[in-house]
Amino acid sequence: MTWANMQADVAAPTTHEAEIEIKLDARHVNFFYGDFQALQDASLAVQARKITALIGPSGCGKTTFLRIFNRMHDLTPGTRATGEVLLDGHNVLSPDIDVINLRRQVGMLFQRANPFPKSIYDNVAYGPHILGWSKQQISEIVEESLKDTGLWEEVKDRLQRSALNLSGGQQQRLCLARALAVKPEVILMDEPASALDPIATLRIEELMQELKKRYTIVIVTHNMQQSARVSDFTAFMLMNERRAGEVIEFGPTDDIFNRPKDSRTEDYITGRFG
Amino acid sequence: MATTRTLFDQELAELKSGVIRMGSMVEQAIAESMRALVDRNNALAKEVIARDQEVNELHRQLRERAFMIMATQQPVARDLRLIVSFQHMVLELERMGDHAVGIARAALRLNDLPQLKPYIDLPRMAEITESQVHEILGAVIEADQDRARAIAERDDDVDVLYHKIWDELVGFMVQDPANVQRAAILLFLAKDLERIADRVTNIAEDVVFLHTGRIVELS
Repeated sequence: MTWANMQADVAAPTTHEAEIEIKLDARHVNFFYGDFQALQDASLAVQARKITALIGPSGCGKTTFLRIFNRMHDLTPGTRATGEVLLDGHNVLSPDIDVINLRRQVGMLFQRANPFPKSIYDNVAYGPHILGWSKQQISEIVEESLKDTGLWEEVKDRLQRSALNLSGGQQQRLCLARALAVKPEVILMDEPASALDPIATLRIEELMQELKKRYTIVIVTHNMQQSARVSDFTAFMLMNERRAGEVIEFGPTDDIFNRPKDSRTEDYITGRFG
Repeated sequence: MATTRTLFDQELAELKSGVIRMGSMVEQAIAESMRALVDRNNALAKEVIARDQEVNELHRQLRERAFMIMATQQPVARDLRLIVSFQHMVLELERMGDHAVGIARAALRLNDLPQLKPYIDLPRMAEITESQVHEILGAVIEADQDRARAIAERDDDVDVLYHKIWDELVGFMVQDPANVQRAAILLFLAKDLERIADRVTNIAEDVVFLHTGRIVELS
């Protein structure tokens, strides 16, 4: 699917084309682990302040694709990405990009909560502290971030206690607060609720609806019902015959789950993929 | 790609076969209720009325089944459309069965009175309606939206006949107050046929929805 086609698909149902703001624009991205190509010609135009979900079977490259958006793949030796990923028009794959600043702009939430073995306060204050913000600013941003993730009322009296004593759902929200504390513009979520119980999962999903008013969210999920519930747009990915991941179909979630255009998408979402 | 939801597919197939079975029962009820009128056969009319319980019971079972499939299989896309359409179709079929009962009850009342007039347009109207019911079941089986649209278009023919019958029966009432009772019963009977044709159109809309995912108005 070409970028122009995707634009048309995305634009049609809800918004006038002129009003669409593309925050993150992946164009013809290829990704390699050594000689092995994991992603082939993947394009995705992510709208600002919307939730875009990446779905597809295991090994289709959705997490790989997500991690390219803030250059997390740099941490894995022998990897290489080609194509363009434009964040507000600037190519994040460019060698001269400031990766630290990129990861501040594009935060990430992982499958399993990974709080630092520090206090609740220090977890959230970690990023702002590194950025050299004042104590007063840090104190304010910690409270604001914890409020944004609905944790403040639950932890305000024990901010100096270890974050590791929080429940799984609380730890995940703490990690989200930690990501929000450095004022990102985009939040990448890699199966953020897969290790949580249904109540904690719903909490995260509700939070996402609040956060999308201010942030652009891209989520990888294996849970198709979750994708249908929370996202505005969905991209279906699949491994091709050379085992490289491709974007098969991308469009408004309503269309992907009710009227998919590609039979492979329909086979996957209806569970007839084998 | 290989099918990996054998049990689910089997459940959907059974649901579909239940819908078609219910449709056949209703089709038979409509035909027999009209025969009970034309042949002045009270026993047949009573049979139609009694057998409606079977239609109602099958309706209940199919609704329960559809609900269970939705609750346990979490269908999406074409599967969800299929189940939602079937749920609506069985509702329409159940109401068609009620209209057949209405015709049978009218026949019981009319058969005890002298015939007002030879039945000409009513059987013609019934013939079109019955064939619509028969054919829409075929369109459901084949998931054939073009055929469904064509069947829905024939609702106009039924409406033309209905208005013709209406005018004629009102004329009888005006002519002689002694005609009023029989003409009024025949009017209700014609209305039952007209509503059956409307419900065929509703099922045709379900077939289009099944195919396209779009809710359309065919009437």
